[in-house]
Amino acid sequence: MKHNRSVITIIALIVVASMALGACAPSATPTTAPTTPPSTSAQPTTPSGAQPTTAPAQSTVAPVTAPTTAPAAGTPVKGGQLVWAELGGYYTLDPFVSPWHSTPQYAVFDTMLALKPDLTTYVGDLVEDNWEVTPDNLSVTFHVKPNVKFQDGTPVDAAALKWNLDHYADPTIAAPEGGWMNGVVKDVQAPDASTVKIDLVTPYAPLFFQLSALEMVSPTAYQKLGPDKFAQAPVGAGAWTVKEIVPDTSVLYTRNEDYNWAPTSIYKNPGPAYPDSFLIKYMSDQAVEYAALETGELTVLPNIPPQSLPQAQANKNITIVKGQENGGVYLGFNTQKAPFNNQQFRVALSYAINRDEIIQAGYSGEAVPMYSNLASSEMGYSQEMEDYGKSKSNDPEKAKQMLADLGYTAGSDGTMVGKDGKPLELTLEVPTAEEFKPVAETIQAQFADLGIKVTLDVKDVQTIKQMTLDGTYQMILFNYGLLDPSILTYLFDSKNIGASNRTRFNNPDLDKLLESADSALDWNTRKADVAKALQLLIDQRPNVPLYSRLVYAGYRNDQISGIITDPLGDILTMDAWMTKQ
Amino acid sequence: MLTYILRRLFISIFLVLALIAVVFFMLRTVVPGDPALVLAGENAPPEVIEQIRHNQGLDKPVIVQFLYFLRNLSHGDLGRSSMTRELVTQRLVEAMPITLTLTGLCFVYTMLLGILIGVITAYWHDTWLDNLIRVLTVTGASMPTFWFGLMLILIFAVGFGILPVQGGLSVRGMILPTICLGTGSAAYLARLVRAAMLEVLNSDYVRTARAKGVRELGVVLKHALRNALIPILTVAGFQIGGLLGGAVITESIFGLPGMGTLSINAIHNRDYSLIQGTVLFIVVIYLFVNLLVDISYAYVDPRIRYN
Amino acid sequence: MPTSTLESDITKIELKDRPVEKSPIQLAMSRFGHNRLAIAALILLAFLIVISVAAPLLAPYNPIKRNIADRLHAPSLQYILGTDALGRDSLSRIIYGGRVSLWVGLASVVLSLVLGVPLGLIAGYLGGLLDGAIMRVMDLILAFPGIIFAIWLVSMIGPGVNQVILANALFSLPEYSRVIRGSVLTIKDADYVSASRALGCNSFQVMWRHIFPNVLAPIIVISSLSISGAILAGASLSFLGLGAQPPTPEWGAMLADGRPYIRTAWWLALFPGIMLTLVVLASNIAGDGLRDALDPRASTKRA
Repeated sequence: MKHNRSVITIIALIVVASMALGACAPSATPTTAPTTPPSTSAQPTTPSGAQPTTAPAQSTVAPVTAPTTAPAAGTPVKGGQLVWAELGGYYTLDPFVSPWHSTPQYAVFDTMLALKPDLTTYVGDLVEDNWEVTPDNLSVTFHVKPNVKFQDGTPVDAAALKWNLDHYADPTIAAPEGGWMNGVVKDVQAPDASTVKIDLVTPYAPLFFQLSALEMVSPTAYQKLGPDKFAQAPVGAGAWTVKEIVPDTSVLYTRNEDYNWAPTSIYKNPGPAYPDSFLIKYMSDQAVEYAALETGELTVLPNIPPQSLPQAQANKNITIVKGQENGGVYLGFNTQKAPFNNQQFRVALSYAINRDEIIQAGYSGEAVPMYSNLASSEMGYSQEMEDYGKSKSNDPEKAKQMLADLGYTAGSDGTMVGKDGKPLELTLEVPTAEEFKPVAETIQAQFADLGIKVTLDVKDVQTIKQMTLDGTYQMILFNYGLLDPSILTYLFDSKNIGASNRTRFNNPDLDKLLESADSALDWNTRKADVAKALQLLIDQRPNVPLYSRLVYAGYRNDQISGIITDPLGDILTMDAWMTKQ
Repeated sequence: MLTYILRRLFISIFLVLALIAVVFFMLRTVVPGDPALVLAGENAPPEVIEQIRHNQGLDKPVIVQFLYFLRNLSHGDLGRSSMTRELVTQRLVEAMPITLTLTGLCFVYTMLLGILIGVITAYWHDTWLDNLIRVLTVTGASMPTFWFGLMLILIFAVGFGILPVQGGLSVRGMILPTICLGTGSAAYLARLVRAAMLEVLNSDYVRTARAKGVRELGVVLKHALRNALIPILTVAGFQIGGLLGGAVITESIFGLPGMGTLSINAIHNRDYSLIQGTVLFIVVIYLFVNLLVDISYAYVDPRIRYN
Repeated sequence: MPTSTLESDITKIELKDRPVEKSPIQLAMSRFGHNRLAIAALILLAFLIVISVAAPLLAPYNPIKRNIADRLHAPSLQYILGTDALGRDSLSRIIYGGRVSLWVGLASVVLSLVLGVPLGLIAGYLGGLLDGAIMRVMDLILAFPGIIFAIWLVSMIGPGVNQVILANALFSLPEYSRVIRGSVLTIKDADYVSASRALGCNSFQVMWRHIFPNVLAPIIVISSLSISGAILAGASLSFLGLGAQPPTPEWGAMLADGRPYIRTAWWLALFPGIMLTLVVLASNIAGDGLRDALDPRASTKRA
């Protein structure tokens, strides 16, 4: 359950290089942006694997094998190197600092809890499955697994876990991953070597989800090296030990021979991993990544670009695994700025959007339209709300009608003109990722059909983030991803204005609903609150959810066997071994 | 000459300081985004962003930050990358071998191919061969790197399977990046060589040399090429400077973590110290290479003198 | 034409022996006129410009009208050059795209020349402190991270095609001025330069009349080759928010947008690529012709 935090990844390597601008030498010619990967996985994709028989249903596009359900042929053998492409930029491996947690971190660090590939059940990873929750939901007691060691040989005990949790919660450390703990976690105690007790200020429903994302480091190593050096030589309790880090390029791991605590409710192989080494390559160009999978330089490509799917499908050595990202892309309005501070205006615009066209143009159809603020791949998704949202969409005539009610009428040349006689001209901020350009152009064209002129401002993603913090924009195209419905709190709670609440939506009713949802330990109660929140968001339209991308992971079936997957399209490799070495 | 060099070096120190000061203040005042925003990720609450900003020292007045920076710089300390916490100097040192290798290979490739084609096309100018090569070189020169690199990969790695897509610093791994990066420059250089040589070939002294019965090839190489060296040198200076500063696109396509990758990621991550480090490095390279070029002018062409 | 060949030959010789009757520019024009290849190239360039200007009359479709049902349509009778990811007609987009691309390419080069040539001439010919100052500023521009400049520029003054031209010109200044300066250095002590100085020409006259024509060869080469760089920079800068904003068609951006489809919809990038190459080829050939025509030594050569 890695949250996937990043979003529009920074890799948009757009170009320019000083040289491109500078010397007009042809070698200096600029380039485009490699596409943002639909960063979607919600699963510690690392060294994992699950019993093929229990793997969740999902479509496999592969012509030959159905990877998840077919028992892997042969007996696992040790050896070989698993080569994996990581999409998106390189981030530090220090979990207290990194803004983005993905395979490179989950390879070296284990977490207290793990999420099963059914994406609903949490099981123990570094702790036993039998944790206890007090009836008031204000205290949880975990029992640490015996004989579990960090890679530096120090034990994973209650004191070590407490040190980690305290470090995440420390406001002066400002660990992005521990941001939720402020005001939620009262205290962490370690009464004995194998017991960790977390006391809460208030019942907190996303607790297990959050804990499944907190990577545990060796306190001894961290204190000895200090934050500056730990990132270069990280020590965790994961299946892989870091051997070499080449920032921006690759991380090489070797097998942690002591590792034998992978959750057996998920994996056949408790550890150690079968391949001798694990190489993660950071790649930023999707066409090149796919070429590397085709030549066999990569064993696993977590994300095949939609444009390369036809080739991949025709390649019998590549098995394709289909999934869906745990999030999506939305059109956000600055709800504090005219004319978007008018709810009627926002709703009117939302009727003009045709999601199917957008998905065709941007993804050749490889995305699922979203009519409510949670994708079908996220927990808390409600079919009822999806239908409700759909009933309030796809109606340009209604949009025109509502705009007319607001005093906007079509001028002589078809341009929409407001009551004050000024033409309706809006600006959409678009991050510099290749995939967003056709999306934005389609939205622009759909608004143009109504006579609304939209200027597309393509900008570097950090610039756009700054604009959302300052509130100096009208509309943005942005994406998000989180498996847990607490994403709604991040995106829309008024306390997060100036941070993750990019639409700057301030609605006390919604704040109350979200607070209630986040403290409801009973799933049905929580889901009902989430549904109400979704309905309110559809009525209020601080944003227009657009689509959730399909994920096609690919792996070389002539190199690796025993891979298992989950509905997000994550590749779990704990049970996998290299057949060609 | 020595005084000239010393004066150039002396002036350079001020230029370097001026440039990094400009970059320093631009980044912190007018360029949107900051490292805290990057490090906070997508969902961190406002107070975490503020705290990171404080931890990074970004909440101090910019002028105070600059004074700290200067103080550290005087100790040779460029600070640490906000993303990886590595010393900036170390990152630069890590990127150097890749950049130097690529630059060296590319330089040799560009020079050999560019001069060869230039000489051939100038010697047989206005023939079908010249015209054919002219079309080819122009096509090569107008092909953007992001396309050319991908085509090379599709042809040689995917199609023929004889070279790796991303082979790192190995011999086989460096072939495609060198071709990708060098071909455009070679085409460009070839055009310059051809033009410069045509002038020389038409000049009196070459015709005199020919008339005196000097062997054709000897004429071309000795007189003509020697006299075409100034533009070659100038362009070579650019190429080397540019290459040492990093070939962003080529490095990204072929997975080479050189200066280009370093600087572009630093900018995307708003990694201030790292940006500062790469800018410092690149400006020093340019000043130095262009100084070398200017000095070599005087050696290549005795008519050029500095005083 | 005169009836007697002998007579006409004599006339020709006489004409050339008396340059007073034809100004250098006339001479150059007549020489250029005899270079058929160069003329053809010039006609091609003019043709492309005319097509761009007349785009509304020529384009078969509206270049920004999406038609999702017909997206990624291969070249056919209906869509001669196929359609793009939004189902827009590629031919129409190429025709319209020339408006931005040719303008950016040519204007960038012209602006670079207007600024770079005098700087290079002054630095090379006058030398000394001025030379040092100019060249060090050029070194700084070279070293300045262009992407930071672009991010700043767009946050300050917003997008626009003219900003791209400005950025292109600014960042190619060092190259133009350096190459020109290098060439000036080799000829500034030549006899004819010294002679003209002795005859009382001031520095400006010497630079303009004697130095400039003799450094044309490298100028023409860099300017004709940098057209494509300028057009492509336009595309990449539009990714950073500078330059022509979508949906305005533009060759560089079309080329870049077609890249992910390299193996499934080859036409997306091929045709804009061909246009780009044609422009560069034509400007190269025309440039070579121009150089030959303006080369002061050419007159002696052919006389």
